[in-house]
Amino acid sequence: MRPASIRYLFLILLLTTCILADQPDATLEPARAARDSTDVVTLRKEITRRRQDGSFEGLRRTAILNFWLCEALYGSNGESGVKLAAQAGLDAAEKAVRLQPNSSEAHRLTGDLLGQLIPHVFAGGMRYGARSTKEIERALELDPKNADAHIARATSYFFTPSAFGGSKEKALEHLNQAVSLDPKSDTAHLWLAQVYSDEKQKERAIAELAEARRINPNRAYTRYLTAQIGGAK
Amino acid sequence: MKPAILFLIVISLSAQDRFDLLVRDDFFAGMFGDRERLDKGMKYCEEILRKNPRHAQALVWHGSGMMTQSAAAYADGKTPVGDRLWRQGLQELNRGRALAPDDLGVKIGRSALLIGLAQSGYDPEDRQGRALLASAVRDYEVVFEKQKDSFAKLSEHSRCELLFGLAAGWNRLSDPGKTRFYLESIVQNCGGSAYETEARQYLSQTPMSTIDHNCIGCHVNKK
Repeated sequence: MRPASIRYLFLILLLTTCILADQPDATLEPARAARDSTDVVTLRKEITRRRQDGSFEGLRRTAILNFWLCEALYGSNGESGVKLAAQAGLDAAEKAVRLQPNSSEAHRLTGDLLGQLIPHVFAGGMRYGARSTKEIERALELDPKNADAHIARATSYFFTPSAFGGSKEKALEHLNQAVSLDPKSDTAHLWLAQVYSDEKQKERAIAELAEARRINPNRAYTRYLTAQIGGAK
Repeated sequence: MKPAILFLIVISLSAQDRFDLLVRDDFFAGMFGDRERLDKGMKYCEEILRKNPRHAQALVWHGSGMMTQSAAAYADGKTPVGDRLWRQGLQELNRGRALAPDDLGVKIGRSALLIGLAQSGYDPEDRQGRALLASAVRDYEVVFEKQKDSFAKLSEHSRCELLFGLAAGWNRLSDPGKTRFYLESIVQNCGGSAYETEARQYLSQTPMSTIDHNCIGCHVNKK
């Protein structure tokens, strides 16, 4: 092979790697679909299957799967299982942080899963709220382009009472940033809908729900919010 | 996920019982993140407790300060320290209550904190959490009962935060009858206020959502 061909091949390889890096984790797609359809059984099987994987990637995936399991449980009247799923996910995320302390995603997952745990632990907000925020801010420090970390920061601003630093305005800023970083994120639009709804801006909320549905027509959470807020089914 | 933290402190005692007036501003500032002010409040209570280790109100405030410090320890990644402070703080709250079972100041301080904390996270299957919340709600009912005759003379804030604390507490303890009773009491006793509007919103829901009441118009961070 001539040097020019090698260079060309290298360029293709590099481009492919870059493109793949921007794609969602393909091995998690069936689990994402299970989350969308609130298929708790499939998610639990997937978590069990990966239980032995102590690598960073294995732990990251376990944390994500448990995070999704929380959503599926809420959607299938299984709220009592959320605490266990959040705790299991948190354990995995914390281990992932120990393995790669500079991983933005591991910190984001730790913060997000602490957020999931908060309503299910006595005084959860007081005990874990500040830590959750700190983890998410660390995630943003490590990677300001982490769209999921912007969403996590927004939810923290959304739920925290204003006296303790909460702000709907800042929540919107982070969510808009998440949308510009990842236009395919239906999650960002779902949260925009919730913030607008809370701010009594129903039309905007409904438009965000429509956008979320356009991006991902299969998510039960979108249907749930549509039933709560309004808009086309 | 509802990381709502709030502290519903209802102050409705006569002046001689108002230990809280000496420390509350520093403790509230601490709860809002000012560690220096929290330390100041803690030191004041420690001075009192050095002279009188059975000073129940100082124990309750000091315990609540330790619980606030535990949150800072958790945030700093010092989980064992956070756990220890949390446990000791709770012990001080409970010891204060045991030492002065008839002291309304102790009941109000402890109950307000615990009901507020339960609003920031509550697991009905956690026996300890449930018992703590139940004890706080019962104490608040004692406060309500003892103040019944002069209830209308209390400030709107005192009356309505007490009633909202009771509604929120019973709501988490899954007693819809008592929850409704206290929400209706808010409508009766807090007419024309933001409390009434909020209570009516909950009363109009079927099924009623979980009550998340944020303390209205108080406890700003005073320097």
